[in-house]
Amino acid sequence: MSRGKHKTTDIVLTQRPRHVDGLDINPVEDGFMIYRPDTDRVHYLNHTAVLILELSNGRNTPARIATLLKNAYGLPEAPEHDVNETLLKMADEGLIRRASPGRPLPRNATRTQRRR
Amino acid sequence: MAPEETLGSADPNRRDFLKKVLAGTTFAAPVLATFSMEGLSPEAAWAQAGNCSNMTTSECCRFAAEITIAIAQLGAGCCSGGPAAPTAPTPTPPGFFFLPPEIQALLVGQLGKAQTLMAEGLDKGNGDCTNPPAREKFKKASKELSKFETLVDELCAGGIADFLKGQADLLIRAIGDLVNGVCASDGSRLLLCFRT
Repeated sequence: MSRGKHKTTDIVLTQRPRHVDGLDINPVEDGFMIYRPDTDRVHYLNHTAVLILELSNGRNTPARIATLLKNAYGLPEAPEHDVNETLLKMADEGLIRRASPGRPLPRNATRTQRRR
Repeated sequence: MAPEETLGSADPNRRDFLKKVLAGTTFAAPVLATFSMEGLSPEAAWAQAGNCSNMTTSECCRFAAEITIAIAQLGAGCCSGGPAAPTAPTPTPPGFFFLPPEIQALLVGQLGKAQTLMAEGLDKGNGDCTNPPAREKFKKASKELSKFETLVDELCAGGIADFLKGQADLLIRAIGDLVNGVCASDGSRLLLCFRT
């Protein structure tokens, strides 16, 4: 894979990932399927991956998504590694936008700071 | 569990959907598997077959062959077996593999009948495929595909049922065109099944 992995890593994991618009997520047995006619590719996701994709709405950092999963499922630790890996895969598959590297917000930015 | 927090962090118009995703599930390692449909066009299949024979054929026979291949791929590509749960490192393509083997067998068997009739039609067509014996076989193949749809309705539900019936519909329409002598295929009409 020669798609500039480091750049992708930086963009996806330091910013608030955002999925591309117009994804048609269809439930199938034990998971979900997305068909993208523009790329001629079919994506199968289990329920955790769908949650990660849905929470990648430009409002949550990867760390926040991991925390949300931890709280939702009562996990002892936030599955940050799983979330990061999945986000990178999603970015690679074009499900997550490759946003232009702008001004990444600090993790501890308050809502007011974000609006400025 | 604290789904409210998760739902509150999702887009408002997606919360109902997320509620359903969360309902009754426990954490599983995320799985994302992607399957390319690139290179699955009937033209590509024919190009690959080009090394096997110098046979020339009519446009209708070529179209009939494309439909036959598409039926085979709908069965074979979606029925290649695989893990019962999609948590394995390399899941097989989405499709029948979620279903119990008995149901898979019934669906594959039904597609097999349609496929056989298409192949018999090609044989009867003898390089033409618009003669009555060939067309009769193709019509029967179309009926078998309709029975496949009925079977899917009886045995499956949800997205997979819609997907399979959608594929069968495409094939039935293509056979209708073939029987009416409308044989110019751009290849994109027949959505072939998945390949890893």
